[in-house]
Amino acid sequence: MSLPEMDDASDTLFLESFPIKGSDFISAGRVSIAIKNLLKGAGLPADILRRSAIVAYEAEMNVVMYGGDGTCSLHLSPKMVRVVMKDQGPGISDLDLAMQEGWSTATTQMREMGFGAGMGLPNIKKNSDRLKIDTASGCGTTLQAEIDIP
Amino acid sequence: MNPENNPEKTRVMALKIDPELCNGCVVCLKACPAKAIRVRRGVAQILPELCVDCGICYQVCPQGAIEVCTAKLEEINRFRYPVAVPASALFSQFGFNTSPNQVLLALKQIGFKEVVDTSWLCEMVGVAMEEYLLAHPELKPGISPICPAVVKLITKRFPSLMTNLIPVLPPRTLASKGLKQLLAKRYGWDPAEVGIFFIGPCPAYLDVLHDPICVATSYLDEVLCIGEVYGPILKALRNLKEEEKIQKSSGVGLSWASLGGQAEQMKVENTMAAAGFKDVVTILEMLEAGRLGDMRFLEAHICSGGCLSGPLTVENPFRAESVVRKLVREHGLKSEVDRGKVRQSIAEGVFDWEKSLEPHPVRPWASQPAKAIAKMKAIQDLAERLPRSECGLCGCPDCQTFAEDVIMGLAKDSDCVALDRQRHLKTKQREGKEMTVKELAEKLGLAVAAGTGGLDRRVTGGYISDLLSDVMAHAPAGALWVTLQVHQNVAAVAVLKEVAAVCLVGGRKPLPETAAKADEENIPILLSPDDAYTLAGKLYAAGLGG
Repeated sequence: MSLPEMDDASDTLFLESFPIKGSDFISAGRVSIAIKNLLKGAGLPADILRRSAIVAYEAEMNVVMYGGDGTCSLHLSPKMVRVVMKDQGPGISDLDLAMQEGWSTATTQMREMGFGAGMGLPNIKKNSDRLKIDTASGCGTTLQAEIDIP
Repeated sequence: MNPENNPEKTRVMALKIDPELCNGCVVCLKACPAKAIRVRRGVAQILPELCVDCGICYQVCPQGAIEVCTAKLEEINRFRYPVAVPASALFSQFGFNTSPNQVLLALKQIGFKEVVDTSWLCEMVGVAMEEYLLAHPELKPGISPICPAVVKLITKRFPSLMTNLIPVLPPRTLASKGLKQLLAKRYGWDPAEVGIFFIGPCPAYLDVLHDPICVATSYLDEVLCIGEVYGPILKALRNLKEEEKIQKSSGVGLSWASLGGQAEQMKVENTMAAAGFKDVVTILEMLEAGRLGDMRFLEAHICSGGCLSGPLTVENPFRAESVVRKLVREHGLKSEVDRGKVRQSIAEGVFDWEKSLEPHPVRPWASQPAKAIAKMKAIQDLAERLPRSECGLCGCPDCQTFAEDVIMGLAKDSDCVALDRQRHLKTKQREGKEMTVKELAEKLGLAVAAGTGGLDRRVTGGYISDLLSDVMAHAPAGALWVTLQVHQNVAAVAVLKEVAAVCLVGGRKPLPETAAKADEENIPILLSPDDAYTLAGKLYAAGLGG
């Protein structure tokens, strides 16, 4: 199953891509902070900043923890913030289960670091207006979250 | 980051760059962690809105071109009763054998009529902050308001964190608030003749004097830096009369000069101390993203080693740290502060801020998101064309900042040497491309006397000689042959050697037979009023190498 082509090259005024290295916990979190700073520069409302930062962070951490390598792209238009996270990881075998709060496949080491509460995907869903996840076991994951700007 | 000035208030800069001494190098430009410096017209300038008063520029300038604008010691003579409020960092400056009490007495000896043991107030403020944290268990973390540079950083770059700041007056304010009235009562002094001087380790206090953080008008009159009083105190220490005991603080207050002194004092779980601009920004970003977890107290300093490492101190910061460690051991960690009294004062509002903090957020790229996003795209497009050598020659600290400044109208893209060089190289390449005789003649304003049929021949170089045998031996094909010979043999030789064209110098004209031959063979004859030397110079300049 492939993601439908992203519409609106015309709508997106600004596009920036960030590479994410799987298992690189040292750099983890930098992409979401960079995204937040970009959105601050755009003068977006505080609520949009907060939600975008949460979405970007949770998605970024999922890639770092599970995903092999990946790319995060930020698409920005006056009407919408879109975060796309594409990775070459193991994929999510049961998406419905993964979307449940508390369900986690985190390893012991990850939990020791404070991750793995099972809230990542539910948090992303809670903070975005539209969410599309394209994934299959062994096929990597592409996550697209959109937040409307009022 | 948009460096546009916030029009509400212009801050006072304690550090100024002397344009006579500044040589426009890139050292401070690159060193500034806030990217607040630009070099324009060969002189460095600090952008006040971005400056965070860390003083790193002052420390690194190889020309000594940055001057400190805090007060001179003579200013104490403006007041009949000058009073000193020294930052506790001052006690770390005079080595292992000088007690804080001696430093306080020395201050009196150099002219201050009264001196406050600010470390004692540090201990009290510490208790007040702790009480606030206990009364507000939901505050995670409470941020210490002691470092004024950090407070200003928060109001500009992290206004959402302003509510984390613990609204307790810092020691310098607590010390100076009501001090004039107190001294009037105690000694009968006229408050109008009392001058309160803060003695501080860093440039931040000058701005705070004019734009105080938590009170409407500062209770301080002037700011001196530790460097200013160091020499006089050293002198005074040599013949000190130790008659009074001014110092009241224990090691608890004295440790505030070090990084972590406040955090040590807070008896709450999970306290943190961070220092240095970049590291403090990282911590604040983590906090803003909700990732600081269960932290209850954050002590943050712009100066990377806490107050005793401030740029306006004298002692080496690691040695100063040693001194404080010794002082803390000597004076112990048992504070004499009466918690009951502090609680009562809190209830009476003694520690309360007198005004609420105002945010001064650094501006987005434009007032409307659509325009701001368009600017971001323009910045991105320009940044992609830049060489990313981060050389600083444009006067901006790095290529990204240069792109931002150009799009915001603060710099021209021709300021970039590399971009300019690319343009220059392209022009050179165009010029180096082989010219036709016609192009060359037009370029140098040479008249065509004959042989117009050969004007599209390509000219590959030049040759000057008036000896036909020499031309026969050495002139390269395709060259422009420069000569003063006008007779018919010139045309013959020109044909034989397959020169591109002949140019007669000194205003000479070909003989009719020569012109006729040239027409027949389509070898242009050009005319120049110049002598051969001058013409050769012009040909070289036009790109026609030898």
